[in-house]
Amino acid sequence: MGNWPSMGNYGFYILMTYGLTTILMFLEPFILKGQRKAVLKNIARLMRINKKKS
Amino acid sequence: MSINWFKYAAPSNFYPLAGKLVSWFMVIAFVLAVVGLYWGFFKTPDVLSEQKEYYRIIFIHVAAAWMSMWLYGMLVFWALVGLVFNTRLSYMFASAIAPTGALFTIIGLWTGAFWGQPSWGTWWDWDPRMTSFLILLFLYVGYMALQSAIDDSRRADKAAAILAMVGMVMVPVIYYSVNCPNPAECSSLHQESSTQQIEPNIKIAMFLMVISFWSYAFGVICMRVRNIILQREKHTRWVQDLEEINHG
Repeated sequence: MGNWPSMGNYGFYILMTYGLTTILMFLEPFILKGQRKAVLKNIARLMRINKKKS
Repeated sequence: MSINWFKYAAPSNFYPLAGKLVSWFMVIAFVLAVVGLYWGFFKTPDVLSEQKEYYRIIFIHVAAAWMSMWLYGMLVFWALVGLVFNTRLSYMFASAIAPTGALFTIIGLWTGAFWGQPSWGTWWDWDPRMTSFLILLFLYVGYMALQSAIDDSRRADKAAAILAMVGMVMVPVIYYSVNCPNPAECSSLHQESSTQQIEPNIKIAMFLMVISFWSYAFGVICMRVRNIILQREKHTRWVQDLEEINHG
């Protein structure tokens, strides 16, 4: 592996770019996983209510 | 062995397939992103013509900007297929693409601002490309807002599909917004596309990042499509028989 790449005086710009992108792209799958859990719970609840009714 | 692709037009058949594809796409996206960033940071020169170290924003900015346009094209394609063939899964795909497309548009705008400040001395300018890109973000948001404003999902899908198709006119506008025929009237801070002149290592890193973003987008879209399928088909027998509901 070569030397660490230089960021010159532009570390702030580079880090803000890569930082926000990483956060957003990591967050999205976790949000979708949470959403899936909520949907599955909701369906299970609906099924229980329907069973009770019948 | 022949694969019957039409089989997967049914949400009940596509749901398990999408589940298998998610992990593959995510692994490919992660590996390519690691290799692409290594290439972009360690194998490339520190300075690109007049641009100093900050040019490395290119690996995110260009990939995100391309993705946001391609995803809009994909959204319109599925919306059109839905309108023509009246298939449920096509509309679900269109709905699943919109938030990811909006995310990439936000990343494109954000990273553009952080590239614009050191290179042009401004975070934002009403430059033709930036303005048309902002309109693309509004189109994504408008599509999602219209769809969630109508309770009946079939009607919402159709209305949003028409909006998306009308908005398709923006994609070539964004693409050609840097090739202004009369620079005095519509000069752009953006340069014309010049990938042929770029150093090969920068091109390799850009290519890897674009494929990584594609793979990520497919993975996330498959995840979202699965959620939408569950939500919309919750009254069907096959969803209620799913193992994850009964033993989850």
